[in-house]
Amino acid sequence: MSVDRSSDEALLAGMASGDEQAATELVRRYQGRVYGLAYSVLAEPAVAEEVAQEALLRVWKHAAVFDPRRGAVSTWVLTITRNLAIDALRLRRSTPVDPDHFSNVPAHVGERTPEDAAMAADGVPAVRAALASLPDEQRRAVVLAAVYGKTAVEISESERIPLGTAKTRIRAGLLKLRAALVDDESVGRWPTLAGEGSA
Amino acid sequence: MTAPSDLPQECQAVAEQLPELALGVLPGRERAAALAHLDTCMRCRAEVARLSQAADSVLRATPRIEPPAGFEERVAAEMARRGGKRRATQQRHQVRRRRRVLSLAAAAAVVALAVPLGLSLSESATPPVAQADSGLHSSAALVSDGRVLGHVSTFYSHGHQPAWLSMTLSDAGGTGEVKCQVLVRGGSAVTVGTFWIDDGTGHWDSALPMSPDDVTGARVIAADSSVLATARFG
Repeated sequence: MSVDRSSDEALLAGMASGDEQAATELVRRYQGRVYGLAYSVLAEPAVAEEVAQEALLRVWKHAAVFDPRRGAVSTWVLTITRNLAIDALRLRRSTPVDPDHFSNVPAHVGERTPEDAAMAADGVPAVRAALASLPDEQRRAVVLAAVYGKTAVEISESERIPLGTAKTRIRAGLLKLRAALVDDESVGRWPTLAGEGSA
Repeated sequence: MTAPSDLPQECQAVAEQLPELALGVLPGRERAAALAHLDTCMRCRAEVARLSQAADSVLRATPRIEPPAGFEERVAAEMARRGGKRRATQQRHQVRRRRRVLSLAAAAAVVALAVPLGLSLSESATPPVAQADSGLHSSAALVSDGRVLGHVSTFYSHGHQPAWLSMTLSDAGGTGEVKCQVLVRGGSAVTVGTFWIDDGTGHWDSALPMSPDDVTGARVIAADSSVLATARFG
């Protein structure tokens, strides 16, 4: 079976049924993003590799219970990775890393691979552009919470701002991000919700 | 954007917590209160859905960085290793279950008692489902005599899915079945299941039969009832 152009969902289904070729392709397709996220959070290559490996093994172990109605495969895989990376970060009590690192690193580091095409299909350029368009302080607050798992209280402490300001930055950043992405087809269908304006 | 002051009074109390809820970082008790409100408020549910879509998109901006050489092969080898172990564990459980059925059936025949088989033969909690959209609640190292043998984490879950616990042992020594207990407020220990470790290594996930807010730690109990390792949540 040729799996190199299969959808993520098809590869995951194959992985769940014991198809080694599908499992290999899914690992190949995601290893750069999974390692990239683990490295962004942990900033330690050896620990990041350990976390990335465990994340992909969790994906493999739980592939059968993935529910496509609840979101994209990429979101699922990256959320598993993020949770494990935060777990490792808290365990090691490492020095906090700069959230600007996550946003400023180029979309791909190293040679171009077919994975770049998969990332484009997943709306990555649009999301990165939308994130870059946020005011700096809102982007930092959103990234600290979404990627590094920081609460508003922790953000107010690390950014040295009042708690109310931290909460306002997180909310405003998320709403601006959504407004920037809602009409972009590359990030998937985002239906307008009741009470939501066109802005 | 609706200003909090325009909201009904019951919504105002949780309005400022919804972004953190959508991001999966809202701390325990506040999260429980916010979720209870969402059960009855369509307006706030819509707000969380709106914020969650944006929150979920952030991870997609993750830069791709090539992992060290040989990474793909190491993942494949570990899949093969754990796959073989999983099959062996399943076979062991099947054998054990069959033996238990036979011994209980024999006992029932002798004493002619109506044994509530459904209860007696039930396996430990169904293996949990990994909820990727659930957030980390607490995490701590599993320690014995100052040595870290693994770690344990508890997670919230969205919707009607239960909270769950994830335990990993990497340096516990020995092979065999161990018991996982959670320590709850008030000092009692509750067994939430058993799992298999092979050469000191094992991983196990389980649904939590209580709120993660009530869990103060966890411990691993060996077959001889000794405590292998203990974790305390900060």
